[in-house]
Amino acid sequence: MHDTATPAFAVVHAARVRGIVPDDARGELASDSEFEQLERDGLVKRTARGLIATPVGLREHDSTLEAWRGDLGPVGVVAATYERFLVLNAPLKAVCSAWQRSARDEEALFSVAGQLDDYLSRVRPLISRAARDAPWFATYASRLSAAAAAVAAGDGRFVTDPQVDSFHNIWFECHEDYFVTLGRSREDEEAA
Amino acid sequence: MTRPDTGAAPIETAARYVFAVGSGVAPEPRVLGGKGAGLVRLVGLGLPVPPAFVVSCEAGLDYLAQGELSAVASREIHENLVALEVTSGREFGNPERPLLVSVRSGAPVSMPGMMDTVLNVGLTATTVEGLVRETGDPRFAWNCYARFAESYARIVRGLAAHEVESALLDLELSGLTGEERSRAAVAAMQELMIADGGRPVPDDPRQQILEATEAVFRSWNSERAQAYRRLRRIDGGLGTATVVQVMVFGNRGATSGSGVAFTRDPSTGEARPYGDFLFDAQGEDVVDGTVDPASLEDLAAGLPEVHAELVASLARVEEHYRDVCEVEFTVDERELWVLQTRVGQRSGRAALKAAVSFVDEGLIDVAEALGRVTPAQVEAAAAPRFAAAPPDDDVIMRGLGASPGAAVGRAVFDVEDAVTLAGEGHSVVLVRPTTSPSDVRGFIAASAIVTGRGGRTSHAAVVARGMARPAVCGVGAVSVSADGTTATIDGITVERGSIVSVDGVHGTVARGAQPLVPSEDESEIARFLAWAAADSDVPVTAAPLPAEPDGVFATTAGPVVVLDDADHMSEQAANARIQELNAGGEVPAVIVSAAWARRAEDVLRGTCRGLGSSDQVVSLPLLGRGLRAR
Repeated sequence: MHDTATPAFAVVHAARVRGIVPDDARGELASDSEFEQLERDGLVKRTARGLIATPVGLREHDSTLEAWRGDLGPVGVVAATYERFLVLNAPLKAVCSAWQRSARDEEALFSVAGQLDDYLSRVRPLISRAARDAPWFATYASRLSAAAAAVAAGDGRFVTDPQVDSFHNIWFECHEDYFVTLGRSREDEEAA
Repeated sequence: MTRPDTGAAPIETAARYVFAVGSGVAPEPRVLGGKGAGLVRLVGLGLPVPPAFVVSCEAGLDYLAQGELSAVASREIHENLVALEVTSGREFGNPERPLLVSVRSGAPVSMPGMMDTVLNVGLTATTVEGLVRETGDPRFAWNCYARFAESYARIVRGLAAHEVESALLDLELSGLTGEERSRAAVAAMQELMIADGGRPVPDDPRQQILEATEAVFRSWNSERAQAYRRLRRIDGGLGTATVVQVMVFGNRGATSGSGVAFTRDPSTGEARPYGDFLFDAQGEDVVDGTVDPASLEDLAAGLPEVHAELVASLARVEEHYRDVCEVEFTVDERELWVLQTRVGQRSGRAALKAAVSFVDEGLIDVAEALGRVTPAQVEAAAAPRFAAAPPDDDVIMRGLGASPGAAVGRAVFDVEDAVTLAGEGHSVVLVRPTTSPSDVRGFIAASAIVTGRGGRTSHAAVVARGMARPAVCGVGAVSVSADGTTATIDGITVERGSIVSVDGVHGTVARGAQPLVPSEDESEIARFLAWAAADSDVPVTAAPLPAEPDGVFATTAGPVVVLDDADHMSEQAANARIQELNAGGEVPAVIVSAAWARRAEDVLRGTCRGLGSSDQVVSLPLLGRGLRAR
C-alpha cells in the first residue's frame, strides 16, 4: 500500500496516532466493508475497545509514509508548518495550565475561550497548509474549532478534559501526528 | 540597568492624564487601572520596580471619544518618556544603549478580552543591534525583534492572525540560521503591514509607544471586551489605562534570570516562599514551561543577596495584601526587579490552610477567611493525602509534582494493562517513559500517572490535571523490559503489579502503600470546617446520604435537591431538572457543585423562590460531604 489516499492508510494512521480507533470514530475513516477488508488483510484488529493496528499494519504504514516523505523531498511544507506549530505549542500548553490553576469561574472561562479562539485562528493556516501535502491533518482544524466553540458556549471540559474531544487533547494528537508524519520521535525532540 | 535611587523620579504631580509610578500619585484603580495602581503600591512598599508610567483611564476614554490622544495627554506622555530615559540611563533609538519598554492594558477591573501585552517596544533596525551587543546573543535579539514585529502587526495594526501566520509560512527558511529566520520574519511583517495599509512599524520608538497606547485604548471596545462587560454588567464608562514600563532582561548570563515566586507554597499552603527560577532566561521561558525551572533554593545558592532581597520583598507584599501573593521578577545582572504581583492562584488545600493561618496571625477575621475559600476549594482540600513524607528508603522515584493528590495502586507500564486491571477493580498507577495520545486511555483508567520525561506543562501533566489524577512527571529515563514485567528507573527496578504510592504534590513515588489520612484530621481543616458549619444557615448533616448522582435527598433540614452534574448543564437544563426532581414539593435548598453555584446563583435563587421554597443555594462540600461519597 504505497498510497496515502487509501482507507488502509487513513485507518492505520489514526490507530497509530491515537493508539486505538474507537467505534464511534470509525465512520469518518472508512466504510464497514472497507474495515472488514482491512481486518482480512491483517492490517488492523478489532478489540473490545476499538480497532488497533497490527504489527504488519504498522510496518506497511511506515513504509508508505517513508515513500511519501521521499516524494516530497527533504524539506516539505509539513515540516515548515511544524516549526510554527512548535512556536505556538509551549504558550498554548501554558494557557491550558493557567486555566487548570484558575478558579474556573465565569471570568476564567471567558478568558480561556478568547485565548483558545486566538490559537485556533493562528493554527488554522498551518493545518490547512500541512493538509495540502498530508490531507489527514485537515480534521484537526474542524475538531479544534468544535472544541473552541464548546468552550465559548460555556463548557469548560472542552479545554483540557481528555474524556471529551477537548482542545488540548486534539492539539496533543496533532503534535503526535507531526512526529509520526515527519518520522521523528518525541524522545529525540525532548532530548534536544 | 542600574536601579535609580528610590523616590528620585523627577515628575511633577500636576499631571492630568499621565502619571509616573513613584511620583507620589495615589494607587487609585479608577484612575490608573488595576495594574498601574498595583505598581504604585509596590513602589510604595519600597520594592524595586522598573521605571514606569501610566496613561490614565480618562485619557483612554478621551481618546475613544475624540479618535485621537488629546494634546495634553500626548505632551505628558512625551515628558514621561524623557523621564524614563533619565531614570534608566538609556535612550530611545540609541543603538549603544537602547531603551525598550513594554506596553500593557490595565482596566480598573479584571477584563479578559482586551489587548495583549506588546513587549520590546522601541526595537528598530538600529536598536536591535544594540540589544545584540548588550545580550551578546544575536539569535535572542533578533527573535525579540521578530516577535515584536509580529505582535505589532496583530495587535497594533489589527491584522488577522491567519494573515500573519500565512505570511510567516510563506517564507523560504530552509538552511537559514535562527538569526536569519528572524530577520526574514521581520521583513515579512513589515511588507505585510505595508501591503495592508501602507504603514510598517515606525522607525521612531516614541511613535511606536503612542500607537501601542492607542491600540490598548481601542481594545477597551473590542468585541470580546464588550461581550465580557455585558456578561458581568461592567460599566462601559470605566475605560482602561495603559502601563508603559522599562524592559529588563533576565538573559544576560549566569548572574541574571527570571522567576515567579509565591509568598507561601501554593499547593500545600506551607508558610515559606516557593517558586520557580530560570538562570539566564526571560520571563516567557518560565511561564511557557519550555524548560524545567530551578527552584528558589538554587537562586539562594547562586545569588544569595538577590534571594534575600526577594524573600524580604515577598514578606512585604504578603503583609500588605494580607493574602498569598504571586510575584513575577527578573534578575538583571544581580539586580532584582519586581515586575508584577497579584493575589496568587492556589490549590484548595493551600487556600484553606493559608486562610486559617492568616486568622491566627491576626491579619484577617473568621468571616473573611470563610469568604476567601470557595466551596470547590474546600472540596479539593478534603481529598486524602499521605500522613507523612515516605521514609527515604521507600522512595523509588522523584520528579515534579505535576498534578496534586495522593494515590496508592499497582504499578503498570502499559496502557492495555492499566485498562484491564482497572476494569477488574484495581487501583493502578501507570508508569510511562514518555507520553503520547495513545496513553490517554490508560490515564483515564489509572488512579495516578508517572512519566519519565516532561515538566509541569507537558502534555502528560495537562492531561493528568484535566482529569484530576495525581501525577509525577520527569522522574528520569524509564526503561521497560521487553516482556513488560519490569521497569527500571535510575537503577531501581519496579515490578509490574507491585504496590506504589504517588504523591502528586511533592513529586515522589514510594514503594508500598504509604498510609493515607483524611484531610479533616488536620487541625487547620477541621477548624475551618467548624467555622463554616457554624456560619451556615443549613444544618450540616452528619449521616452519609444515598450515593446517587442527583435527586431529592432527605436531610435534617428537610429534602434537598442535588444536581451533581450541574457544571455541565445549561441554566435552562438545570432549571428544568430542578423542577422535575422537585415535582411540586418544597425544597429548603438546592445543592449544586461550587463552580455552578457561583455562576448561576441568581437564577437558582429565583428558581427556589418560584418553587415556594426558601432561597438557599448551598454548595455541596459545606453540607456534609457524605453526599458525594460514591
